[in-house]
Amino acid sequence: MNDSEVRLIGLFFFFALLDDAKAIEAASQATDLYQLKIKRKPDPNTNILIIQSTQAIWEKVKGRFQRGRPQYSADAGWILPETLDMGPWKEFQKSAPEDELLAVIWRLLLQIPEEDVSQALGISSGTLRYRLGRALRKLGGFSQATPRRIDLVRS
Amino acid sequence: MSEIIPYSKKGQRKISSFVGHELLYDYLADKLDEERKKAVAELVSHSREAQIDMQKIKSGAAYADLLKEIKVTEALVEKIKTPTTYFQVGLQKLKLNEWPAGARIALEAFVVAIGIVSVAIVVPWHKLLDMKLGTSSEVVLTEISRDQLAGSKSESELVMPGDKTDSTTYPDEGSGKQTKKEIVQSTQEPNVIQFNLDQTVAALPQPKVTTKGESAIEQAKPVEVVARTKPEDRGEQGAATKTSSAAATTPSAPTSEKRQGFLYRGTIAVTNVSSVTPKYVEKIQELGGRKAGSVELGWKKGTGSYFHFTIPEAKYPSLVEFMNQFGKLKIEKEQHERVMPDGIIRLIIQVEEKGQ
Repeated sequence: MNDSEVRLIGLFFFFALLDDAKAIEAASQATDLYQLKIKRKPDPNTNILIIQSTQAIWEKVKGRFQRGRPQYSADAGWILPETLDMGPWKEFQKSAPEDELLAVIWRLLLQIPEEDVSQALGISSGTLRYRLGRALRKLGGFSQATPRRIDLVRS
Repeated sequence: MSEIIPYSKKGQRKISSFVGHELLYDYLADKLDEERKKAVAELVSHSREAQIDMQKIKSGAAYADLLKEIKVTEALVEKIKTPTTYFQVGLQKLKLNEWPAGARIALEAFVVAIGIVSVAIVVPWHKLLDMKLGTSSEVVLTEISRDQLAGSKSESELVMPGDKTDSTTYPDEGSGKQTKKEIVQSTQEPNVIQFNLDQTVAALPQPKVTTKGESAIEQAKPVEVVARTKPEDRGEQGAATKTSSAAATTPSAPTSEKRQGFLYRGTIAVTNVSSVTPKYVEKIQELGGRKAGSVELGWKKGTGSYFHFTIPEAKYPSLVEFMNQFGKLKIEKEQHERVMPDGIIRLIIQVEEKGQ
């Protein structure tokens, strides 16, 4: 297991939980699960295994935390761009349906190919794009509501 | 099969507003066929809502591009890769941070109390206590040899009222009535022995006052001997005093030979410690034994009793024989820094209840 895969898993839980301690704990568990899955499959699709591992751990932890209470800081090891405003994402993470939230993280933020995401989730590409479309509309709505977002649209 | 399915009566693939809105992401991602693309484009050109939605999707995608720049440090990667221990999992499951402050403090106090009790149980206090007793500087023993002191006089002439006839006396532990000697010794200051000789001693022909265990004293501190004589006792007595002083000064001369001290340490298991202990105390006192430490003979120590005492070496076999009547005495002779006077031995005997 290389570091890039660990990074993907860590980022998934950062975006999904917005909580340092819980994200690190969940990422650690997902990493263990991922390694277990890799041992079982001789020629695995790592992207699919990452999605399956993160989804399995997400199902375990999602009931133990409350969305909309972010507890993260750069001190924990996340490198956030200085110009980035996390406000829209906090709003989105708090209010978006689970399937849309996860679809955006896997497909757009972790940039896992559409085929792998849809295969891992057992849905069609059209369904995945439908979720992404609805999610981006919400996320765009939140980001347009901030002053910085207006600048980004102009550019 | 390549024939396009007519969605309307007029054969046009015109899409509804609802479908058009849902196809906006596909349109922007260029995932639609040409006909659909045209249909959506037409919808967007006429529908203000579709234009707003498309703008939102573009904004969302642009914001997602910014989020993609979030990175993870090497340290955090290592932390994630480190397998979680059962202890960590346990702590996480306990959720201590979410406990009320009172409950947390109570738990912490409980853990601290457990720690203190564990230390108290594990530390061998009895050994530490023995070490403390062994290194005590309270007891300093010197002895005046009666044989040498008596010279040509008979033993009976030396026995004073209240003195035990069958025991060897310890000048430093005695009442002082025998020779009225005052021995003042301090480990802090240079040792001073003050002799106030009375007629009893002065009347003795050529009284030779010596201190047994002189080497021990010499090893510790230099000894200064001061003799006081009453003015009326001058003359022959004065001469005797001078002799005594000269004799008493002798031990302070440095000796090159270093003597080795010994300690007899023993244990014995008996039945019914509480009834046997007084018998031992009585016997030790009968044999001329004296307590040597800071505790009384037969001091209750746990379930057993503790004897730290000195006794004439000649009485040792009798003591062992007596003690063995109640059990089997196991005794070892250990080297010790404290040197006892000749003929005196120091013992530490611990009496335990049998079967414990």
